[in-house]
Amino acid sequence: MGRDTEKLLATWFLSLAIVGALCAPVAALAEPQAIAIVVDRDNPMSNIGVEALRSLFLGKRREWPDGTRAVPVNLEAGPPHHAFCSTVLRMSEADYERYWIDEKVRGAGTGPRPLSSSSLVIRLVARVRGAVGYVPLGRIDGSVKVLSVAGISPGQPGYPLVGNLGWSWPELGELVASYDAGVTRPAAIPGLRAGRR
Amino acid sequence: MSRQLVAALLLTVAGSVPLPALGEAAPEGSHSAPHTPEPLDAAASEVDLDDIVAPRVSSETGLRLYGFTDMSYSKVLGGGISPAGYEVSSTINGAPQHWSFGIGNLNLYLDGQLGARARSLAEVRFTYLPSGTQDTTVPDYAQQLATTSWGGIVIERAWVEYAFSDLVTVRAGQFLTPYGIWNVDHGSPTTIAVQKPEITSAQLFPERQVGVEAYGSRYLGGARLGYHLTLSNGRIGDNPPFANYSGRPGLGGRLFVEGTWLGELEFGLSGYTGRYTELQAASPVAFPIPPDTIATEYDEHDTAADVRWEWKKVLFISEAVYQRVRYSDRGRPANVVIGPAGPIVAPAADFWRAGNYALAGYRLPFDVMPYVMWELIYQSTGFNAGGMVFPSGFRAIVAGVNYRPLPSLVLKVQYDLAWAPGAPASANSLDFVRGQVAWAF
Repeated sequence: MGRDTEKLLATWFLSLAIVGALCAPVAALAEPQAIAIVVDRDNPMSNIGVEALRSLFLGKRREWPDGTRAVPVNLEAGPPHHAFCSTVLRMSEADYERYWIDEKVRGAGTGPRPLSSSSLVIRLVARVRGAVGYVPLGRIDGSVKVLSVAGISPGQPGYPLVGNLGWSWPELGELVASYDAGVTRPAAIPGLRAGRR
Repeated sequence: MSRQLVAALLLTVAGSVPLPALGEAAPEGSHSAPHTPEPLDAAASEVDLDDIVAPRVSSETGLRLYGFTDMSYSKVLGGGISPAGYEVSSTINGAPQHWSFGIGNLNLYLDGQLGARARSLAEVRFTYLPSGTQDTTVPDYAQQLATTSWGGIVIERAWVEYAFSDLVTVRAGQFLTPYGIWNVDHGSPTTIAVQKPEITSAQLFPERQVGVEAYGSRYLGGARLGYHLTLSNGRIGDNPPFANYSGRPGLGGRLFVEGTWLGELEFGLSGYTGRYTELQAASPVAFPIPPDTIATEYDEHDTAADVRWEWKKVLFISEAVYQRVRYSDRGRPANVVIGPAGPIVAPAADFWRAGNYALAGYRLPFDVMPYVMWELIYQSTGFNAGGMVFPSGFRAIVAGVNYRPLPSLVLKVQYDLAWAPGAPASANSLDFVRGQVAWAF
């Protein structure tokens, strides 16, 4: 393929990508998506209440009922983090950041570490006993355990953790980064895999 | 084909396919799909993941450096001490006669995560003092013909703790006394007003102690119940923090309950009891060296109550503190009291002090919070504050605005009006304006 043709095709695909990316959130607005609470597979919990979850991410509760140290991890700013803050923590992202700055000044520590992508959250939760994180339901794989919240499984009517996740930039960055790593394949695209289920 | 072209193609496909909706989610119990390693995982090294869980103590990973700083603007508008002849002392006490900018706090935290359950924290404050109270100007050895003024470092706290469980964490070292709200909030980016309320800065409770603290909490239903217990050298006062001249421990504690009743509500009760003994060092040049003498000795019993309530955009915090002091026979100091007939020397009387403050704020859009605060501190006639006895205590009204344009940046401006009804007319009121920019880093 010639260099000019390649550039032309790239421009065309990029234009379509921009249009697609603009349309996707619109579609997502009509269909809120579930946020799954994930823990390591050895965690005996199968259900967690919203208040218990909130206390874990506010540092007011630091262990699971079996005594295991809890290791909450956040997602960096983006639609899933926004939805988690509003539905579970009942505060804005800025309020949550301010909360942990205040806690830091009080001497209580620095709060859950934010990770850049859902896949990194899943990987950490799968590896670390006591870890807990949240990711869009469509990103779940078999390496972690999904908790029901307030007795309701994600995807069931009444599940409290839903949000208009739309298209998040970390996922966009993930695609480019993964291509640069030379290992991208269509099956790894979020949404595609979930949609085929 | 170039990488950019493939990335654009992938974006096109992904952008055109709606993300999974609720109805498309896997049914209960089958959330787990065959695990396909995500490509980006390759970018996350094993070291990164380990550091998130239990950072090692090293210059690169385990030791976190952060802190806060504030710069204030102050100007006395009227009343108070006459400007003539008292400007140095009034400036050092935070009420300069002429308008002044000043760096108030420059605090650095060294936070070490020693393990999953062990953590250390040291907080030091860099200060200009003793410059201002004494001439610390010296030649600057790094710059010929230049001079510099040296300052000091205050150890705010330095402790290590181990969390046995949520119910029991044991901390050893120097810590802020866990009472009330303001003494723990501590830092200028966190506190709403520009300065501490008088009952906190007057230290009716010891501000900090050296010893051991145990604390923990447990949820019962929707309420979180917690406690703090302290065992220490007692009040530091004018003694070195590493000495306990009384031979008795200082004992303290706090109980609190918090929950989501009509917003976020927290109540706390605190107490402290201890003996304070201050020694007068003997002259080391005399022979034989005479024994130390007791300059001051008293037993104190302090109690406090606090409430913090956040409901929608409303914030309300309040504390009330009571301190009772009884001197021992051997440690009762002699005070100079300015009475109607002039200064007289009299044995200090036992005394009590009590006070409260209440702050109410309302959060407007863009993180702007106007607030008002009421302060009262009252003491019995035995209390002597540098020769001035104010039997009716002090009162103050504060009105201001706290604006937080960024989570780590706070701008404040406030007006204070303070008065002492029982004081001589020449010094019974003071009003001033203060501004502050505080930032956490």
